Amino acid sequence: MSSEEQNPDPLFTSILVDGKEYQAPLGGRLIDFLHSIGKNIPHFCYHKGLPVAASCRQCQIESKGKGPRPGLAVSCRETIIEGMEILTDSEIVQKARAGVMEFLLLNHPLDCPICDKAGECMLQDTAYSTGQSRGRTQEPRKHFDKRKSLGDKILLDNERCILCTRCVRFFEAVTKDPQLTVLDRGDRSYLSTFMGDPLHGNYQGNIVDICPVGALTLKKFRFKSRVWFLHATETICGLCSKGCNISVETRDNKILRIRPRYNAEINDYWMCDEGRLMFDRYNLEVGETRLPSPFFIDENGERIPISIEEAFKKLSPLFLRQKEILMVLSPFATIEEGWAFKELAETLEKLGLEPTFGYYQPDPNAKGDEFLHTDEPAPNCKGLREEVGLKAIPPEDLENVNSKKVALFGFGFGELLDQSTLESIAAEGPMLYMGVRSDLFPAAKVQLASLSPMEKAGHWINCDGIKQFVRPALKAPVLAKDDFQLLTELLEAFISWEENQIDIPDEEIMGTEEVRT
Amino acid sequence: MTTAVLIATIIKVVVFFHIAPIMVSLLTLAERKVSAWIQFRYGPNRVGPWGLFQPIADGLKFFFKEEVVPEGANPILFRLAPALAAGPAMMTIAVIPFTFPILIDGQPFSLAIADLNIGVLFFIAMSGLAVYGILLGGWASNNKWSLLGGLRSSAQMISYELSMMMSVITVVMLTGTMNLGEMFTYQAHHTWVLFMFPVGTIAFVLFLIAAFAETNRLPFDLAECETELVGGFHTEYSSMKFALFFMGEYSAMFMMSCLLATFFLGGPSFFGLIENMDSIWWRAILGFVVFMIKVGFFLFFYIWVRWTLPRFRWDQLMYLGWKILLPLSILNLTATGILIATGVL
Amino acid sequence: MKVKRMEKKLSFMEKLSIPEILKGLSITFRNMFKPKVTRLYPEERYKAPIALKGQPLLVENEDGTPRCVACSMCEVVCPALAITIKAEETERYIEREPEEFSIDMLRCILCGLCEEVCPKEAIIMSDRYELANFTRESLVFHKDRLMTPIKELEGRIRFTKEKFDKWHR
Repeated sequence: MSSEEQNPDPLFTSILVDGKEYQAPLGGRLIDFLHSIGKNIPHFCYHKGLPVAASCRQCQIESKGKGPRPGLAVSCRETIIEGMEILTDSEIVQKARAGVMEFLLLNHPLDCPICDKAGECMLQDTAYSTGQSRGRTQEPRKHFDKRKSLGDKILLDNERCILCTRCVRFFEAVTKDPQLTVLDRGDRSYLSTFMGDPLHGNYQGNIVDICPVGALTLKKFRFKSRVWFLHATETICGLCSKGCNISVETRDNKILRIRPRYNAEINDYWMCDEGRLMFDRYNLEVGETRLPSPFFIDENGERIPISIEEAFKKLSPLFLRQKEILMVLSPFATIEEGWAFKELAETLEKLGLEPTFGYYQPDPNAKGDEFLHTDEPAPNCKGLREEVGLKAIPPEDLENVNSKKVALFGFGFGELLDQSTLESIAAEGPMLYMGVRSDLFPAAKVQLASLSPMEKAGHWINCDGIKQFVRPALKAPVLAKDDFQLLTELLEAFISWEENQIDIPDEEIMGTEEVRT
Repeated sequence: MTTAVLIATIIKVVVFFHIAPIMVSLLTLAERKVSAWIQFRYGPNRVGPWGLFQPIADGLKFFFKEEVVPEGANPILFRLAPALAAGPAMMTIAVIPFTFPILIDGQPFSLAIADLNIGVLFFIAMSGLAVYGILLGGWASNNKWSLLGGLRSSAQMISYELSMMMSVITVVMLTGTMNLGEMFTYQAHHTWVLFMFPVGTIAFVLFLIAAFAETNRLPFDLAECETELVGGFHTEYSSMKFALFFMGEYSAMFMMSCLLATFFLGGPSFFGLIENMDSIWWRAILGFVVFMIKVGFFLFFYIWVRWTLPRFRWDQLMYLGWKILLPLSILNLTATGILIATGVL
Repeated sequence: MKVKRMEKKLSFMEKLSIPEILKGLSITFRNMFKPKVTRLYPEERYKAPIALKGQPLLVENEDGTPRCVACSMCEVVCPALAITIKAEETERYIEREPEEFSIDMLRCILCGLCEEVCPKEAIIMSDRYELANFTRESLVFHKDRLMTPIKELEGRIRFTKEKFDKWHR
């Protein structure tokens, strides 16, 4: 990783770049420094998070002083030493780069209109800026296997591959599990897995991100949308407690792909395939699986859409007539929601109730590994436990509980609860479900439409105790309300209910058989 | 009055009264056709052969249009005005002798609906009434454009009526009668007023110009004047009310053409060819044909001028009416008197 | 202020104006017999020149496949946002084709930028100019109505090729 090659010596030295003097970190990598001072050094095989291969030869510069032998040098392989003198845009450099581009484009197919990488392709960008507009060759281009499946996630197009070996080095150096290699020699070389086996592991998706051309494409995103239509939002992945920084790319209010964002403290340049591919849970269709507005089940079992004010009116007596309630907050909740939830539960205690409340602590699964993924399938358990101070409610507590006394708050119960628990709660219906899915607890007495983690803002604390900001990437349905807002309004509704002692006749409240004893 | 005369009169009234509406409907088509030809177009050609049924389609459309009465309009006058515009023009048809008299029961039987001795006076009275329709329509609409159109129209009609009447008096003096039937008989026996040079010719030109102004036709259509007044007096009118104004305008045109033919071109006579025929019936029928040809020429002339000349400015119109036509017509009248007194004519 | 009058000095006959009026009348009378310039539309249709930018159409190859590869360049360049494309994978060597391609002719301004930007000469401004209909839905043209055999569009394809070659030389 990059930290291995960081400058060990903090001393700076002065070097000459294009005739101008700069203070450069002694022992740092030359290409990084040139990029940092705004020089445009095109490169394909070099990636900050990978070991250097220096195979594409695109980042050549001209050296005149000390350091590399005078003449052309590959800037990604050079470390900065004292007395360097560099020319980044001299005639010989331009000629060398143009020659390299011509070689790279010799057999590269001209299918940018088809290629999904178009728009974010390094080869395309470089060809536009420095490449030539017409090829000089008369010979036909070489043909390889154009649609080679590498497992169920990734498709390889060997014609487009420029053999930069970034993907090979990723598996070698980052996951320490070599799976890809370049076979054959010369102009016949091509990328392949060992023995043609499919790829395995939870980190395959990263090779699609680092591929400088469109040779490796994600099957899930293939031909879904051109990249320039995507709207990227910088947020946090919530599928485990690691809290990888991600960029959620949406179009027409649908997540189409998720890519990692650089954060040296947490995930570096990478993320796992689970977080990358399991975004369908956020793409809920209003009218099918998405709860569009608050609902209420009357005594005949019919679902009636109601306004939020009405929902509170129905809820207050329902809550206040129960003595013992199990209030469970989802571990997908933000810290702010945790505080509001705690306030709500404590107020109910003051009003004379005896609620059991806490956040749902899922059992650790076996998905954790030593790289990024953790055992905890929820993002904010640590934050709710340590920052807010909520009690953990283990899955056992929910297994054989009177579901009529359960109130569930937040997104994620469908994913976290095991099937039998889910069914037993869903059969009778909890008294309150505040969430995003309409198919999960259709029998819940009162259903409040709230937001998914991709639709709201707040803070999560990951397993290492780093507090991170979650941004909304999607627009929620109009009548759904933010969880935090719902919790605080619910609190106000309870207080005003208790203060005014409004007497609503029993028949107006459904499920009145269980009156507070 | 014998039974034969009574029946003949009824037939005459029914037939001749319907000439006006039929001519009006044909005129609307002719106007569009002629304007189209002058502008290298085809004109209406979709309804019936050569678009002949276009007036029927237009009429049907008018009947099914919504009637709009604007807020603040005088409800009675607003509805009365179209009738007042169409009525007088159609009434004047009564005194027009369409052809030579025929013999019924051995008596000469005039082929005008009403063979008045003071036919000219009747025409003058009716044409004076015509201004009310337009004036009231403009005033009752509660619309500034309509009001301006109505005002202009009344001023214009009064201005041009004078010189028109002067030239009519010239004709009366020349022919010595106020009965329109006798007027063309006199012309048939002597010569057409048009050829009574110079006074008859000048009277013809004056009458022709004044007739354009009286019927509010271009180049004197200051009353509607689309570029300045939206639609002039009929801006607020729709449906059949609008159609009535239209019919009024076209029947006034038809009437003026009839009068022009009678006053100056000898009505149904044609250089002794027809008036000297032996058979009375043939004389009547061919006379009618000749009369309609003369009328048709004037109608065509109306349309022709409309698509040739631009509209006058208001001050030019007044200048022409008061400072040129009126003195000229008075001079002409005086000259006529002197000529008749000296026995030249 | 000194005003320079530019009025033309009129001769006596011109001042009399009657001869001038007669002159005008004779012009309009002669006009009536000149050939008509109106086209009798439904019977006589206008054959548009090849340069006309009419209804944009998609080119269909001889084998019935679309030329379009759903690259979305036209969707991007369209200033009126009239084009919607959804891509899908095919078994052909050109592995991508539009699953859905619709041009909203209510929005289309017939600017021809889509034709110019298309890298595959797959969207072509045809000579169809009769673009009226009774419902909004019927004016959103989908793939089935846009696909046109290449034979019908050959002239325009050749024309655009020459034009763009000239521009880009």
